Amino acid sequence: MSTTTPTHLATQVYQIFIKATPEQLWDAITKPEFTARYFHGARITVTPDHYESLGPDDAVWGDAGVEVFDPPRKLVHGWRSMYDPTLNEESESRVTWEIEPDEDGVCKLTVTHDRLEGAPRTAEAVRGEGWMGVLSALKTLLETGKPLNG
Amino acid sequence: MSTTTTQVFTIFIRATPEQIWDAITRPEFTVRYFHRSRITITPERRASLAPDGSVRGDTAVEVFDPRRRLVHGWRSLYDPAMAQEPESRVAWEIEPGNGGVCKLTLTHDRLEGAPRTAQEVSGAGWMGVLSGLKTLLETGQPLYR
Repeated sequence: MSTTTPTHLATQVYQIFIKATPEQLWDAITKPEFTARYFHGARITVTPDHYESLGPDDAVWGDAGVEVFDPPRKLVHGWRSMYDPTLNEESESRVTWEIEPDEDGVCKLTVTHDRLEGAPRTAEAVRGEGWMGVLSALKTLLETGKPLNG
Repeated sequence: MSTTTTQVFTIFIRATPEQIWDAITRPEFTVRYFHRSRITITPERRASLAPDGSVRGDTAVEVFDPRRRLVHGWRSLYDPAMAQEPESRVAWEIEPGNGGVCKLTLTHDRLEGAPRTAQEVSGAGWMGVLSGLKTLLETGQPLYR
């Protein structure tokens, strides 16, 4: 296992289009009663100062600073994968959420996970279906009112 | 750059492999999520028609394995500049998962000679189509009116 992240994985960008208002998306990203239904069961609370993620058993899955808190447009926070002992040893990376209204009541949501140069295992764990699993479930929850899985 | 000449997109959809296969290969479905294109895919050929009947795509089918895998050529005939670029290739893979959810993976490759097409379909391009496909299958309604 290499100790540095391949260049093409150090900055990962994911996009999805969701029929929801920017406010609904913002709430779904920042409030635990929503995140518990699409983000691997994690109860995530984001305030202007802090990002906190708790597992179903109250274990701390994430605990990081918030760099930008601009409702309902842009959120930037640190990322540490504390749910896995090996990933937890890696340096902090960064996640940016951008919400842009499109036509017909649809928003474009862009997630950028960057600063992954020093976190190769995290980069591998979140790539592709990692983030797209979360974003697919977020879309299903907002459009149907039900979780994607279960 | 390998990231733009081979582009991979993944989305998870609550639908059966049969439903996803039909939505990809039949014009009555594609017209509701794929820029209003009426796309018909047979074991031999993929034909895409615009609402005005003009040809948006017309390429051979390489793999036609219903409910699992589809591989076909891609030419962007809907745009004069992109239409001059050489053919690239699109692969769709459907994998059943837990709880009635399928993973759909779309790989657009062989884009080395088609930089304009590569730019056009990247990111929001394919993800707009896949987002519309997911919404149609899960809600019965198009994402965009």
